[in-house]
Amino acid sequence: MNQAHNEFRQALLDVLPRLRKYCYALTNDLHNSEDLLQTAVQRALEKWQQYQPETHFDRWMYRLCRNLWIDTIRKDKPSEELDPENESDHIELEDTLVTENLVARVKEKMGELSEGLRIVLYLVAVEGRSYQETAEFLDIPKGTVMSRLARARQQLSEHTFKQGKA
Amino acid sequence: MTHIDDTLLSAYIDNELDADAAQAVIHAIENNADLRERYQTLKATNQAVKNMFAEMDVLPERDDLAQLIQSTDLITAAESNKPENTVVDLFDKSKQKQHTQGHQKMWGVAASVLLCTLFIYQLVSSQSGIPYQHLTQQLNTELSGTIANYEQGRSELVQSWKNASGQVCRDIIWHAPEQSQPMTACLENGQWQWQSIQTSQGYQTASDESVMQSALSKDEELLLLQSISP
Repeated sequence: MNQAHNEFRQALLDVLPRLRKYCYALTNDLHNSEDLLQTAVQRALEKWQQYQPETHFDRWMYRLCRNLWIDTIRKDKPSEELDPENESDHIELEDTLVTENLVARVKEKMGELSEGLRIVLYLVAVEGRSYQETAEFLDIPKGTVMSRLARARQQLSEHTFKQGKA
Repeated sequence: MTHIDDTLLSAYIDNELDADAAQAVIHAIENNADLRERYQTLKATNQAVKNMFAEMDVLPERDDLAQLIQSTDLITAAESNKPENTVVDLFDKSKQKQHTQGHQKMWGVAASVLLCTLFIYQLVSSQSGIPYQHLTQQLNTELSGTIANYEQGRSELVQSWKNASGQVCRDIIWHAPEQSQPMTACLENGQWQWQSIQTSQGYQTASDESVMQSALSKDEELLLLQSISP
């Protein structure tokens, strides 16, 4: 089998777990994110020749996902509600310092953030990317990354902690 | 003394401050109870976001996708993605030679029509291809001076101001490869109403609602964004 094919397949398999979370950050909906992931993988397999091996594979895939998601929004695909039956039933949090309640509230309020805020927050807080890397990744100034992060955390904390104190 | 706001606290949480700035934040957190509480709130929120995504690790793996990746024939997949050959022979090849000379003129005319159509299409699409949805999002979340890049071009937020009716308006320039389009959006009942800026407006009366009465400062912009940000 062609070595380029193997390398592409491996890169795709390696990025899959992160891509799954990125799709979730984009859509803020588990079902939509799984659909998006599926479509993105299929599209990547069709367009694998467009990927330039010396460039960042994850960046290529993330961009592909984002473009697909924008197309989906443009087509006004109705956003489906989460089906509680398909949600993970027994989720254990790794960090006991943060209560399940707080995570649930943050999850609920993430949907109220704009996509731009959500994606920056995901790339920095979850993937651990630096501000500079995130700025290059999204083609935005570093200052914008900084302000979006602050605004995202601000909005989430306002929502969650106000509710918590009430 | 450095003013410690959420942006600095946030950058401190992400370990993005240089040594001096980080030291200033640490000092402020140690000596200011309100700031300490704010820092802990932001940090806890950040941790909750991490945990929210960590929950996805317990979801069943997508074996179907792994199998799809392993089993798909990449050459066939790429071929199926190519646009179909829609070119149709207009004439029997044996007759082509005799037709060629007589039809050169016709093709010339057809090419001219095609070029005109393309030109008109470009003109129209340069006006209609503005991603208003994204620009509206930018209006809701970004300060003036921000530039956002999109596939079709880039948008530049220029300034915010109030008109004679007291409405908040924001100027934005849409830069497409073909041309740059200055636009203004004014906030009316919570919705941005778009209008293109006419390049030759002539004179405007003082009572004209569309005339800028006062530009918003950065702080006023921040307050505006906080009040309208989705």
